[in-house]
Amino acid sequence: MNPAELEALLSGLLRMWQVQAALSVSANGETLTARIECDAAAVTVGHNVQPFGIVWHVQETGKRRRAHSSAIGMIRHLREALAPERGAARVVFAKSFAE
Amino acid sequence: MSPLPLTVLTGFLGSGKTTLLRHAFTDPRLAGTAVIVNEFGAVGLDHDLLESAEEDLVALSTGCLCCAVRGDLGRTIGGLLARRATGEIAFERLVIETSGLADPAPIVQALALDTALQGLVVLARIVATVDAVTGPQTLANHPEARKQVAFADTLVLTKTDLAPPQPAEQAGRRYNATAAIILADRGYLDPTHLLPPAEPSEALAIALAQAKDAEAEHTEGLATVTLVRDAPVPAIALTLFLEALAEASGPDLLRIKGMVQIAEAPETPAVVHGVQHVFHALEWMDAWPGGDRRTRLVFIGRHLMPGWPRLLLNQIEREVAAAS
Repeated sequence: MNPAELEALLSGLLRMWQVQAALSVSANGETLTARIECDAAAVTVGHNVQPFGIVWHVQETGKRRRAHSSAIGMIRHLREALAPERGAARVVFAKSFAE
Repeated sequence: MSPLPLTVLTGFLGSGKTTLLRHAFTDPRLAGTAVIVNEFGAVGLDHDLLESAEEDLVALSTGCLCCAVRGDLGRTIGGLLARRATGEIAFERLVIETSGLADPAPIVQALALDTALQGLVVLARIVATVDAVTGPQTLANHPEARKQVAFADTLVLTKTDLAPPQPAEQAGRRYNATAAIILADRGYLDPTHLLPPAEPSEALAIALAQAKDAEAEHTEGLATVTLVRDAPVPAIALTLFLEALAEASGPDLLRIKGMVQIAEAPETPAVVHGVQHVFHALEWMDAWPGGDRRTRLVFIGRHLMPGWPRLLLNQIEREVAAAS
């Protein structure tokens, strides 16, 4: 992932959640850091590649930094921080009760 | 020559219209029926998913039929009728499958008012599908769904094997007091419900009256995003991608459909159908229709950014590769 991709990924989330926020992305080697600031919260998102896989970090100002092993965890954490009123959805594979 | 009867099959995104048609067209009573498939999106998929015995009789129109209806619908019907007149194709009736976002009012209006079509086709019935799983919520949230139900003379309750039909029936009745209500049996509908009725129904007369001066109405912020991709997708990446999408977009992702080239089985396309957060088990087609083996997915939802699903899928794929 490059800085432009990270910015686009996060921009898409903010747009979907209708969150007006300032977003900036910086790179330090392979480590990417994004800063999101809005009325509700200020959040830092980190992305880096480790020997065992890709790691995301999310930290709200004044709270503990948490690590996520996939984009799914990062998205969930961000949603809870920036758009907590939005309902979560879980993929359900339909199973017929007629079967 | 008497005008050809035309049935409008409508219903919200993912409510089972194409499934009903796919099954109905295996019935010889629908022989001689031309189908116009309208899709809201740059890449048509229902056209490929409709396995008709008479492929020449399936026409495709993209774009929002209800917003560009007069020109597009007239041209598509006119094209079919011209080919019929030369003897290239033969059919005795027409079915229009609208996109799940179509407001039927302008379609009905166009059929009634388009002078080029007058005397050639006549609206015979309007059938609307209502999903037993998501239908009540959809009717509460989306004006398109309410209009589709309000204009129908027949409501077909679908997916009644997944949820009891009563809530969807009650929700449908709230917007249409006179339509006949029929239950589809796991995607099967008696095809006579798509054929012209013996006598025009009261509900159809009401729909025609309602259509006068009607304007198309759409849910705010709706967007269609298409993902086309050459490289196959690992099965685990597809599953995680869908989960990430649901996590990100919640109830605002109304529909996902398409064909995916799965890395573990690239010869046969996997058909993905998702309605909000409910996905049906992958269906496998025997072969790639038309020889195009690329993954093609269409996403319809609120406030979707073009290119965003592709970015997410690429990222998920990188995560799967890095962890493998």
